[in-house]
Amino acid sequence: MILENQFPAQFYDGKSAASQAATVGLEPDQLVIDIDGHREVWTYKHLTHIVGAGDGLRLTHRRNKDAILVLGSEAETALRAAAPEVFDGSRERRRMTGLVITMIAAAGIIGAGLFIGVPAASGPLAHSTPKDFEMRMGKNLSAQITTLMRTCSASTQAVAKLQPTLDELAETGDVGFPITFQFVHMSAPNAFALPGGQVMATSGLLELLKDDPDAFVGVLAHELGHVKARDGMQALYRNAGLGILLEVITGGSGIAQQLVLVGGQIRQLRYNRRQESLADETAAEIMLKANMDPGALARAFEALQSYGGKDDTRDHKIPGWLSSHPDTQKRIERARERAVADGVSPIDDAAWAVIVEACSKKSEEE
Amino acid sequence: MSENNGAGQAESLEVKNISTIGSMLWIGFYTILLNLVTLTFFRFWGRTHFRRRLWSDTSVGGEPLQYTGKGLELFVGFLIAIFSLMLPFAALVLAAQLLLGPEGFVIVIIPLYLALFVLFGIAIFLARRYHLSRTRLRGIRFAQTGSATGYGFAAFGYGILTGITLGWFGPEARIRLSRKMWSKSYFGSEPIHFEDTPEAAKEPVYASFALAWFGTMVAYFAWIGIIIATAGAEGLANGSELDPAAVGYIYGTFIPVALLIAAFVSWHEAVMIRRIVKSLRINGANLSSRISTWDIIELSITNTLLIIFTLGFGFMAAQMRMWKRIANRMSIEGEIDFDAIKQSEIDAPSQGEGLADGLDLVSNF
Repeated sequence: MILENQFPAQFYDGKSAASQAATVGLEPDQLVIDIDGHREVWTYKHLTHIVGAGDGLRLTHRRNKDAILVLGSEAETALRAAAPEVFDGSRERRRMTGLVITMIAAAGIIGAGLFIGVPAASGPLAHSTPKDFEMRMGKNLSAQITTLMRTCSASTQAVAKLQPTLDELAETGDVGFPITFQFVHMSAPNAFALPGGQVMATSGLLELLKDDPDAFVGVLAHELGHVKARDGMQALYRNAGLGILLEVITGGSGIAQQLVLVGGQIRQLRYNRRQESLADETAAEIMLKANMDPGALARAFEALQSYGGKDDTRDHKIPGWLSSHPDTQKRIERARERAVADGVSPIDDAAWAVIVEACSKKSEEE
Repeated sequence: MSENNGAGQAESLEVKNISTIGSMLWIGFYTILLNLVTLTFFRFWGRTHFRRRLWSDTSVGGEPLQYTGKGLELFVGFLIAIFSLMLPFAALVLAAQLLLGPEGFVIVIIPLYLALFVLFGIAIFLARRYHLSRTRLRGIRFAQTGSATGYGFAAFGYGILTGITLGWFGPEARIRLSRKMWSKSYFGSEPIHFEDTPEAAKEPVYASFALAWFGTMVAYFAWIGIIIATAGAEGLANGSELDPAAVGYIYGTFIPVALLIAAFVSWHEAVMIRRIVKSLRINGANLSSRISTWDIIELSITNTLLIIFTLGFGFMAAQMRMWKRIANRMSIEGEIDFDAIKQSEIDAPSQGEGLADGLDLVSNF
């Protein structure tokens, strides 16, 4: 039954762009559209109010989503009275609220997976990675890093003098990988261990510890601790996980992931506190077994600490494995506690004289 | 209610946008806030809200445009692109990086990145196809056909030519790519034509580009010269550690230079917008644009300030202001016989913009 409420309207049928004159009648549960004798029935329940520019009230209906009905102000007033639910945005608000809550929950689960799950899984993953695979990765990463950080020109001669000590320490400590060592140019004092036994020390570290070969060897023993724990591989897996997160967040092209990965390597594979403590512990054990004095490691920490403390603006140059730890003093103390009086220096003066020249200007000129 | 009730009549149409900054600031505000707590997943819905509002505020001949896209469609498209393309791509790059030596890495990575550049064009084409398919006027869908791959390779080739010619092929490339898009576009059953109309051909595309190119070069090198002559000799030569005052001086002197460059580039940008709009014809009507250099300069400056002073929340409002100016400076001259235009039978994509999202190329509008 059509009520006496009848209004002129404009109708787009969704089949052509033509505007058609229509008459609309409002019934208790639906509106009836009469277009030149053709009737369309639209229930209020499935009506959608299109907000926007243009004169008149625009409606669409689930039955024919392409069609648009345009009502004048009188018809709009009558419709608002007959079917206020069409204009009530609460259904849409509820839908959006539910959606946002779902997204927050999903974000929480994904975030937890990446920030907790990935780091937790990185250890077991690293230890189940075949060693020759890790060595290949380390070799390739080392080659890439040395395209960014130049190898010192006398590195080969210096490494020849240092290698016996490294081999002995690696064997004594049962590190599990043959050690490949390089000196690279970088003013900040640092040393880092890549996966698979690749170890590097910077010219800055050599300069800083040029008068204390045992402290220098102490730093290398610390890096051997990372090699033994396969921290490089763990960092790789962690960074790859973070890369995936960035991929999702930024909608990136995969470049973000790669930057995180390479960045992670170049930024000295920043390890967590537990890994650093374990590497300190392993270094002390290796040094003791090799009849060295672990107190030398304490001296290395002190030198690095004083380097960072010289000038506040230099803080960023403190190596990651030191700067990530506000408790450097505790590490110094722990290393001192392990100190022995009768430690033997593994490098003689003649060998050290060659080693300290690895990155010197003199060797560069030659 | 619109007066365009009579069926069968041909109509001359006005294009108008009535969006307000407040409404767009609000959408930008809650989109950023919700992005923060949803790992940015809300961005798909925020973008949809923005488009819905922008289109519904834009009318053609008194009838508003309608955006019917959904956030879920964008999200699904993004997931498909991420898992089918972007993550395998990242995995391949990662594997090449870790398992091959530097030479092998380069051999693998160069073709991969070249393919990525082709994908950029494909992504832009597909995103526009989706966007058009979700745009309606008078209940009639817009559509786009054509080969996304062809567009991708063309965009890649034009990009190389533009590089080789130090940018001088750029305007021609832009016109060619616009032609590729628009000449495959439809309003319902009605094709949209991209033609070199006399009005379009009058636009001084290369004169404006020459001013932008030479003006930018001269301004930039003059600025470098001034920096070196006044402060640079000590500050820059001393090495890496610049003092904050020197940095402030460099940025401070660059602001007027940037404004000058913006003025040069704005003329070209206004010319290009007019050139492309005036090339468009649908049914019996030609599109026209009166956008001016001053419009672009004013919008560039005020939009930059809007984004800065709203800490980024105003980004969508800035985009709206640009569209509003373009729309309100646009007119449709001639008549369109709407009776003759039927609903589009071209298949619309079921989800959208995933590749563009995956490559971070997507635009809000």
